[in-house]
Amino acid sequence: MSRLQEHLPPDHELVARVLQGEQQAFEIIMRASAGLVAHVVYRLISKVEDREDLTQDIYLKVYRQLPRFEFRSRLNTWIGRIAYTTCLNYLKKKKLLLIGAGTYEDGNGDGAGDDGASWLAKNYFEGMGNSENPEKRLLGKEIEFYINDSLEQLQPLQQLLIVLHHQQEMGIQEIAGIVEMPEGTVKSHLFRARKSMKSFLVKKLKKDEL
Amino acid sequence: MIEEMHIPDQQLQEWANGQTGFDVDQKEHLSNCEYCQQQLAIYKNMYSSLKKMEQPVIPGALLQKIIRQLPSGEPVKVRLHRNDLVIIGLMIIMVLIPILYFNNSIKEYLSVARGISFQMCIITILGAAVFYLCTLLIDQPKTSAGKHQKM
Repeated sequence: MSRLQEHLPPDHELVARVLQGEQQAFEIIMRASAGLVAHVVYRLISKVEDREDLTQDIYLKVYRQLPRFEFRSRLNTWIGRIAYTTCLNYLKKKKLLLIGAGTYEDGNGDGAGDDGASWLAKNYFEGMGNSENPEKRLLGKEIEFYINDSLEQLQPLQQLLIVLHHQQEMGIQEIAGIVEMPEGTVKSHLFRARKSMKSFLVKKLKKDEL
Repeated sequence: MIEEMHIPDQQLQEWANGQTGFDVDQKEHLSNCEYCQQQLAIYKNMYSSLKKMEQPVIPGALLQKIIRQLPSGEPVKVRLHRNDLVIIGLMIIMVLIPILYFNNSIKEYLSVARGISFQMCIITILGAAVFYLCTLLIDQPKTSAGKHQKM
């Protein structure tokens, strides 16, 4: 749970206020879930303009469906699930196929690439060590330099699971509720994703040394 | 035996994430095995780097734009979802059919007084219900992505 969420009114109070027509309460809900929704949309949708449309779509859906929220999960988890299913429906509708390492391609072979600069500034880290062994170098600062690349070579779903778990600090159960998968499947995806990231980082540094 | 085998990757990942602990043999192995120490350190470093990574944010202007699209000051109305209609339809069928089938007075009224075949009546009701449910299921709600104005 983030620091912002710790100071929020309880879910049932926020929902009741929104249902009575208080827009300010919905704004609080939006700001509290913005990080989660941004992660979901950013990792699954590559075009910036589509991300903005989808974000609007997600929150308007949340607003319309709020009377149906039954408090079986945290409000944030429910919003995350709406964000995830909305993105999946969008990808299905656009016939975007997942063709492997973190890229989408449509039927015309027209890649939907965009660096999303308005959403995420590239992170640069200073300092490159000179340890003799690539794996030893990974113990230093270099891993920070390549971490984004190692994340982006994963499939979008695995990227999403990694950021939800390691950046949003969400538990496996909560993530499973968002992506509607059994907890074991989420754990298995996370394991493979982390292993793949580690292999990528080791290979990258070995290659750089040549 | 444990000295010859490295600690499984999954356990290293979980250990680095603070989820589980090693048993005594594994701790001993870890203290003597440079390879496993490195692997563990890589995972720990990877996790801390992930936390330091810049995270995506939804622009404040976009949140404000969404707020402006909401109906101001009106209570949110409860609207029936298509799935609700399907469930209600199925429940009505499940209640109606046994009543019609086992109630002899209705059966007699339909078949004798009105001259309508009872079987035909049931088949017609079922057919209409199935057709209606099929149309509901086929006409799934679609995402309205792209209908909003771009910023």
